[in-house]
Amino acid sequence: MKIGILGTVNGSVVKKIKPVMLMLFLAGALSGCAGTTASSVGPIFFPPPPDEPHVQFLTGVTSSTDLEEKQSELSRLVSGGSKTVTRLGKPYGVAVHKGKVYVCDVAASQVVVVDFANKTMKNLNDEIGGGALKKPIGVAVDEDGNVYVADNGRKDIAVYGPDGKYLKAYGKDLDYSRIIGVAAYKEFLLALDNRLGKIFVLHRTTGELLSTIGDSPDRSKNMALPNGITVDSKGNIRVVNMGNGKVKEYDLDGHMLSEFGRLGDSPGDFTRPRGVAVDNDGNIFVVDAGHQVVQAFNNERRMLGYFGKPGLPAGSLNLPAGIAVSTDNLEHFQKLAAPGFKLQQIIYVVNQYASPINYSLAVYGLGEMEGAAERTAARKAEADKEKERKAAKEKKGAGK
Amino acid sequence: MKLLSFVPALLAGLTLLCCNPALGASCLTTECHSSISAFKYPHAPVQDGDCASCHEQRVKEHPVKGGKSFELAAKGGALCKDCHDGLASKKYVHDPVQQGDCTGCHKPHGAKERFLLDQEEDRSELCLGCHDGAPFKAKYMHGPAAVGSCNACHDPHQSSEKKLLTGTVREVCLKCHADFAEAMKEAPVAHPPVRDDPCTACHDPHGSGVSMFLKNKMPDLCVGCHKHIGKIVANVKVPHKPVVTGAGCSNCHSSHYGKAKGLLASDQMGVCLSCHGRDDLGTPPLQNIKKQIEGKKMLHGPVAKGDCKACHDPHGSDNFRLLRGSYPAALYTPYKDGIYDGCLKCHEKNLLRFPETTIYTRFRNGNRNLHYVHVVNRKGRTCRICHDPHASDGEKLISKEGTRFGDWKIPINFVTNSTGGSCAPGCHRAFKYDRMKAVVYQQN
Repeated sequence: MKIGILGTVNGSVVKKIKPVMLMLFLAGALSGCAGTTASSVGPIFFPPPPDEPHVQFLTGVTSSTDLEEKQSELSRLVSGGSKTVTRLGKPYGVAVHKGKVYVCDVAASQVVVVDFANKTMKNLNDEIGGGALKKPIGVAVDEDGNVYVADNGRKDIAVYGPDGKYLKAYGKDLDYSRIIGVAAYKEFLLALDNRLGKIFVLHRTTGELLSTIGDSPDRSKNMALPNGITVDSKGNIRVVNMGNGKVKEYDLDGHMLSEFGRLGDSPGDFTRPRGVAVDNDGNIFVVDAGHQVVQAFNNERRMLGYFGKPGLPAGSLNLPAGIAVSTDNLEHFQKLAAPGFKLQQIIYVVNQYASPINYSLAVYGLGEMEGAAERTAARKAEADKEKERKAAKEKKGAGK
Repeated sequence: MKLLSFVPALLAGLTLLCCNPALGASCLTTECHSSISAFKYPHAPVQDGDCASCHEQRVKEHPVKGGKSFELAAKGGALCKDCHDGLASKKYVHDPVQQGDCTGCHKPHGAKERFLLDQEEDRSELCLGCHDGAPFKAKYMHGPAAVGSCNACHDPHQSSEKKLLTGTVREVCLKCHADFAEAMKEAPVAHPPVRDDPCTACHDPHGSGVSMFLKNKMPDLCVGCHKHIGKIVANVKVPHKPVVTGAGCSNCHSSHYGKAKGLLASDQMGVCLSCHGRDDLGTPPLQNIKKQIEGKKMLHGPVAKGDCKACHDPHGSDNFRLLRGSYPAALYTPYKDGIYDGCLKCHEKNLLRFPETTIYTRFRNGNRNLHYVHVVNRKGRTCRICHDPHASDGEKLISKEGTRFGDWKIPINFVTNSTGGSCAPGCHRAFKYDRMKAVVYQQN
């Protein structure tokens, strides 16, 4: 983007742009760099028509300018003033809490907080010194709003208060190799070590190590290059393993409860699985950076479908990484949904690279088109009838 | 001469008089056709002596030896139509009526009974002269069919309904079964085919070999529509006896209408306890569940809701005690994943899987899962050794009076406190347990 060339080159570094000087460039930016949006090509549904849609690509954000009204740029040129642009560089982990989306930007050494409803996009913390991040890769927010950031440069988990103020760091004393993911549940904080293939269960408020998951003598129950971690509403942990393409479910005691998936290129297989999220119904969403899709599975681990396939005019993924699911702000996002498409939850997926057709943070809505249940019932009835007709025909044929 | 000139005119007049209907009486009064006037129910023209309305004299001489001097005024139905018109105007017409074969049924001059028929109310002899009599010899007969009152339901000439019925099937049936119609109207639940379909969907209106002249025996009749129940009934290892014996489905369900959901005679538990609340049914007698529940403080959730069906399948099951999920029939069974699905489809499914847990049970000493300890080894104890599945006077459905163990009741003496509890059962020495600070047991 031209704004980027003159203003912010990298990540969420804050720069001032003098509007009068940049008039020509901004005009270009407004016309040429808007990218292909969902609105310019009509609603982007997954699966595409004529199938019943389940997911709609809604919007996305790469820079704070994406949240602004486009017309305001011109009016601001006339009226003058300055603005702060926050831009995602190379994001990875993502978490959502009370409608705010927390995105780890590895390149910019920041966690950027995006608030779609209030149209804001700010750094979590601009402190220097102890609170500064280096290579933030995983982020979690607990029920009190505290933010935990797994940082590969700092080699610890930095803890920030709900106001973004740096509080403390966990894990300096842990015998760990590379913490790349964090998840919070009740009084627990789970830290995923990618190299050791273990989850450290810490006390959320004290950082004390309570137990370690992944030490089973039965190696099939342990992890293999785990990459993504999430914890569901019941406290069950899901871990995505790049090493063997499996999604494993553990309880907080460390017992493996279930596993599914394999490396491969059939639907439901993974090549480079990364982030994982579980919604309140137990549906599991797994991001795959190889297939560049998000695959959805139900609570019985049966594949439901996928979304974000590459090669689309909009709504595709570009080296995706983290994923988060939320039911917050449904009302806000409903305005972006196609007429009749009722949103049930919002899925945030991080793309490591933005492009004219990919936002760094892409927003999808999981939902249902009006009358879907009736249509499904009608299709099922028709299929049953067809089955009966076929059976009757076969019977007749056998009778002859 | 003048007098002679009148003779031809007089003869012509006499001839005319002989052929005049008014003189028909002479046909019947003479010896020749006197029997025609002897019918109890004569045809109206016969009664009026109006022979000429049907018979026309073609030959002057009468009687003629070896010949006929009268012919019918018209052939077949056309003769009757002049007076009895409109008997073949509706959609469905009885074949003899259509063919004009009125005399196939009726006697043209008169008969012993009304309608120029020789049969009284019992028309079976008449109708079964043409129609197959087999359905009328079935073991169980519909009243009108049994007594030959074919006309109670069928119009012998024509009808706008199939089978020459006097109305729609429902109208025909409810015309007599008015009490049924009234009661069904009042009933909160009605069987949809009874409410919407012809009664003949289930009943043979003439008769059949099945009680209440059903088209098929139960449960075969019912599972014709209720196919999923049919599959269960046909394939289960453990059938529910009432389904396959006696009145079949009707043992529990009303066929027509009922007071409660599922066409049950009363609420679900009431129906179940009508058998399972007695001491005198079966050999050995069925357990008296009513007694087990009565006055108990703690009821198993589904029992408290009266929902026996939540755990048991009343139509049959592959599992012990008609349970909806697996459960060992043997009192002692080593634990394997899946064998307690009957219980664990509601209760924590990981309850018995792990020797150590902090999550799935509060019955643990430290993190040691004491449920696991009880179920896992060779002598794995089934749930029922400690817990009563229906009701109990103690918490966790552990009865104070002990649980049934053949003739003995094993006392459990289960007590809880805020962090654990203790047991002093008839099974082993007294043990305490504590979740926070594990009790150390002495090994002997």
